[in-house]
Amino acid sequence: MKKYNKAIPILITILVTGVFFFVLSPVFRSQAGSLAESYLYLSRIQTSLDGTGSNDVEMVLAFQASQSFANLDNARVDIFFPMDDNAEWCRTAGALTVTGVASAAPDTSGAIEITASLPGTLVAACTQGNGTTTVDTISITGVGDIGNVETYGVKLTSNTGVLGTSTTAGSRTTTVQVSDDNNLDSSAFGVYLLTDDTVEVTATVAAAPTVTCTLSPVTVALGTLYPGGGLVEVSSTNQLSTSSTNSGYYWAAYGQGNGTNAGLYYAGGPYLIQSGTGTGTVDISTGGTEGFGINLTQPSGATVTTDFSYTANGPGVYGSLGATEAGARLILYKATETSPAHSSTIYYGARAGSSALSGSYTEYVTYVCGGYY
Amino acid sequence: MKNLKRYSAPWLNKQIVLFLAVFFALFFAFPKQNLFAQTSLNIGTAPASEKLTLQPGEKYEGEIVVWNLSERTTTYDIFVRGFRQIENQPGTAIMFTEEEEARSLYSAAPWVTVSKQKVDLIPNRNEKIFYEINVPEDATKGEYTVIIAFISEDVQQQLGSTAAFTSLSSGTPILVKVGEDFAENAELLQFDTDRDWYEEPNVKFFTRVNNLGDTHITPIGEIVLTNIFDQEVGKIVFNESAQSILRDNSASYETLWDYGSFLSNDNKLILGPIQADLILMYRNFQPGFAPLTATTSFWIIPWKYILLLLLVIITTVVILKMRKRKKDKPPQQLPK
Repeated sequence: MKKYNKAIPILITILVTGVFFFVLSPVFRSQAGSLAESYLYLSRIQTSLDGTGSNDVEMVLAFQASQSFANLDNARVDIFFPMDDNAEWCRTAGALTVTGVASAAPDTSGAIEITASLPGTLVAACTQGNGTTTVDTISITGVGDIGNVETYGVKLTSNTGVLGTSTTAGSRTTTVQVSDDNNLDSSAFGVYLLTDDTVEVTATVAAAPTVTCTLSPVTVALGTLYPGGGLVEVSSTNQLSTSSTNSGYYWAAYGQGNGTNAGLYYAGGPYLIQSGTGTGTVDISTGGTEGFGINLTQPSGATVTTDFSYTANGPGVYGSLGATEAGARLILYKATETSPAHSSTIYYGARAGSSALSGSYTEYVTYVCGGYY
Repeated sequence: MKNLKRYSAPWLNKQIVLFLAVFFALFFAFPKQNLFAQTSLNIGTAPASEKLTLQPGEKYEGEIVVWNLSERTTTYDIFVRGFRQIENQPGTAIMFTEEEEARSLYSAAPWVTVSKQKVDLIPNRNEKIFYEINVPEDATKGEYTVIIAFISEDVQQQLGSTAAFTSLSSGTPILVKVGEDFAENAELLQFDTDRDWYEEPNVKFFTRVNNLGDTHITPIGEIVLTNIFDQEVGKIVFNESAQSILRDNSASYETLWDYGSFLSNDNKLILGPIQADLILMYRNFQPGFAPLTATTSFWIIPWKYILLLLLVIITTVVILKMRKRKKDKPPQQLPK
């Protein structure tokens, strides 16, 4: 007990100080809280927009306060931008068009949804920071009475050349503050900017993409199939080759079979050595099975779809072909420019079941090649 | 004289007949098969696609250039039909069958006329196919699709054995928006990696987007990678080739991050847990108001290097201990 004697006065001091702090703290007028149910969205999230012409930016702010703010106590909303972005969000100091909105495009039903427009006679201005002690700030004044139940919405539209975006890509931390003379709520948002948010490039600007496709040879003899006999596999070296500019390429394939199902067809029978179900793979690796299918080798940088992969499929397993255009299946693709040309070898596998009729079987495979839209 | 000649060397006559028979058999049978086996088909098209915005009653005239780089002239039949996307692959087009065409509400094929029904493509020469789109006055708002497709004419021949005959098809898909104010809406169905951990930064991301709107969308964006210290270690462009998703379709995108180093450009560590944040835009108008975002994570554990390092450490410790033991042990005195 003796060794704790020194600690007791220290503990008492901390306790007394804590009690005093707790008792005296209500004298501070300000109550700080966090904004709930809030978002800040920009119509464009591209860097270096200057607020002119097609570089115009709009903002929608939604928030639910944690407490009430009164118009009589000078309720206001402020949006503060990072110090590093000085004079980039407020390209020039000046007024913004501000409107309370009861709904907005970013509303997510069941999640964050604006339920009331921000009340009051709203006035907004963009002021530039000095780069050392103050930051670019959007201030909305004249805000009416705000409760802590509704999610309020407000839209800010740039007057020409006023509202812009940072020149720095990535996440930019922005603070939103709702306050009056007595209370204050705030929240920080990470606004993510991209170097280019343009979704579509018009064809008139881009060079016309081209795709050139080669199929060689056009006929692949599979030799003789024996009913109940062994598996026949014939490779057609580099049968498909493609080059493309700008936008990559893809190949799809479909068979004809008997018109309903793809496969090797003997019209004289008639008899169809079916290419599986037109989905997945066809396994003709074991005796007594029957079927027809193809596998492809994968050119470097391209992708052969799983069902048609020569390396992924085991011996005797082939991709199943569908019949007619309706059954076309994707077999090979690459999403970027391809030069020099890519080539792929195709393996044709077939096995006739014991009930197969003797005759000359054929399948007409159409290979469809294209560039992406 | 004739008789003399014939009977002077009867064995020679037999040889000649046999030779001729074999020659004709080879000439008529095998070379034909080989000839087809060597034949190749080639077609190039430009543009690869067209995206148009037209109004009811408007007429549009366009052209497609096709060429053939093979060594023989090939005839291609020209088809004008609506098209659909192939499976989950964005930006692909396969033309409708006749039945599908008849059922389709949004095929622009009835509005399109082409300058030719078939074309002979002479090797190494460009051929222009002109087409005209006449949007009817009473066309309802919507996005319509049509493909002007070229399919090589069948090289049908009998080989006398089982065979696969092939044809080549290519074409130019055209997307025609009629009207204005389209609803662009989409949802993110998947954002994931193909594995949970990797030996090196060679990661494949799978993203699946569902188009819920009434027009095609072209999602673009970025995948941002941060390490355990919350430092940005990489940024990958999503859908670099701007592949689109037709309406009422979903599509899967593969994005590869093959960095090849455990240090980023600004010397940040690419090891341990890595967080990947995806941000996508898909709207033409005010894209920032509707981004799609998702997060996934994976580990980069170069276990071979770690194992090697551990082995080196263990070996060093063992050697040091052995040396120390050797030092501590008093030297044995030689027997006197």
